[in-house]
Amino acid sequence: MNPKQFLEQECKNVKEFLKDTLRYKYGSNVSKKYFSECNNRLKYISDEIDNTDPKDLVGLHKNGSLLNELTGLISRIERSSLGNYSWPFVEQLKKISENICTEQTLLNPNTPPIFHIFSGEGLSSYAIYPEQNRVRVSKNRILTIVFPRTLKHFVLLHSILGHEIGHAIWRSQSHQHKLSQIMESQLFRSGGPFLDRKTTAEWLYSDDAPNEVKAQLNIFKNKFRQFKTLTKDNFFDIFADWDAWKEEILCDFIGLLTFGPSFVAAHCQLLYAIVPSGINVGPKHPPVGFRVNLMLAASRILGYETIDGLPKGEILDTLNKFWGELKGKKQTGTWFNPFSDEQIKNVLVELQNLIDSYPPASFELPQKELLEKLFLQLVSKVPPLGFEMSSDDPVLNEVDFRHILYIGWIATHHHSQIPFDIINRLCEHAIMQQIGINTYISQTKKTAK
Amino acid sequence: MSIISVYETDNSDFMYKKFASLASSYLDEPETKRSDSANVPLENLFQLLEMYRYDAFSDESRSGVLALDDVNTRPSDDEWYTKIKTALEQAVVIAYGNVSKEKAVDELEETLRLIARNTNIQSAMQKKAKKFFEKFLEELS
Repeated sequence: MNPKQFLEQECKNVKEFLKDTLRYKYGSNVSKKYFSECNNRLKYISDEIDNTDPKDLVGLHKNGSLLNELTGLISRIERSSLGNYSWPFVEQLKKISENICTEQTLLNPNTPPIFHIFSGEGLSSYAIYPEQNRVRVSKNRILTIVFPRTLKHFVLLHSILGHEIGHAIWRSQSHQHKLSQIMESQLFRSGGPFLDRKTTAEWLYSDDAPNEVKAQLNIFKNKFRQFKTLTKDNFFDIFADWDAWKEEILCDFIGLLTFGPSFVAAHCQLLYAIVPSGINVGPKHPPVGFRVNLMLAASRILGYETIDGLPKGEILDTLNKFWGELKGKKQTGTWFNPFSDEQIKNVLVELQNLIDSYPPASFELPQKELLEKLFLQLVSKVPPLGFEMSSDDPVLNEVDFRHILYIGWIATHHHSQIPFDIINRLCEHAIMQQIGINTYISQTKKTAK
Repeated sequence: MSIISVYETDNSDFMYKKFASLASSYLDEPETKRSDSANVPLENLFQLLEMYRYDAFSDESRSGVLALDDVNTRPSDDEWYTKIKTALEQAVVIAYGNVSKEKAVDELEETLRLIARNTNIQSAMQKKAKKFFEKFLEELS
């Protein structure tokens, strides 16, 4: 076979592979959507390969790359049928993401994405992979959400995926335009170390920088042959991606505004679990301690640390312990806090306005009455949800799954010391049962009309 | 260890040339019924025009929120879109003259929609779009 014939054969193989994937279930109404999407992509690539001259080696290589990408995507979709993830959490994550991730396509101003979920290896596998805009050879964007396999039922930690919603919406051109304007005008260009690449590098290499940062920069320089010439002048040319750092900061804010305090808790817990030193100057991620401090400052500014009207007592004590531990993760020193409260407040206000336009993406603090009910249920080891026994009939109420997660985090600091994994399972059950309650309430409302 | 190391370069210039060439050929017979996959180049061009409209070309693959960065992944020297953006700017000026970028993009996107719906296109609109794709292709060559 020549290369063209090989690719033609591979197109047939991919077609068979795509059909094979239909043997598995992917959730209601999903199979048809992804099959049609992938089939269109395959048809286009097959036609292109058919029309490529066997001597056009560049054309064959480029179309071969597209075919490989498609095969990778279909493999991930097939893997998603294994279902090794918390489906109640995923249902709710999709619900809060769909509206804000809906985008304009050629023939439909409101095209929702197609979601697929699978479990990956290691704690660091949490991700949402939005396809790139350039040459995506598609109509519907396919968002692949990845959870760590070992943390299947740890729904409290899954709140970290709020950050990934940020990456997903950054792909929408109109969102990117607005988000970029907000971040630049309210944060990056209003003072601090992100005015340009030079000022960020100067901050990183400043005398005020913690010794651990200085040590890490020296390790890069002395241990890696390719970074022998690394200095602050070429840091963002040969080592790190400045735009990626700024995107990460934006996505942390989006995570905070979509998941609230649960995001901050998951952020602190997981970032420090992976990088206990709190430093880690990464090619694509800014230092961990800086990110954590920024989220703690933003939570304070948003008033997340208190609940209006909550009286003195067990719940307030537990809430204060929860926030006390989070604040204990704060890195000391001005170097870690390069933005003023005013800058952080301004950026939060504008991002909040944007997210509020796409309900139900935005997080709102629970009322004290709800918090009290959920708390009492959970510390009694009952799934915290909108169900109460009254003297007559059971009373059902809608509860946002993010309030269940928040109460779960607070309860991790209760004096009864319910183990973390048990709290997670109770909250996962609550989210699952709450989906049923919400469906019942919505059906009852429809019938009443 | 994989059996071969392949250095993949960005496909964008190559693919957008292909898409523009196909869209230009569809313009000659806009009412001809085509398969669903024929909309793939039109959709990609539409998305490119949206990137151009909003100057929103940031499109790099990002690793997960907790990903342990690979220090061997260096930032790329060139932006993938530099040549494409210049080609779009030049083609808009040649095909649409002094009209604003937004109006030119609106008209081009409407032309792409009419092609996708196999609808007749006004001669003046068709000529401008044809000129746009010709210049865009020339700039990318």
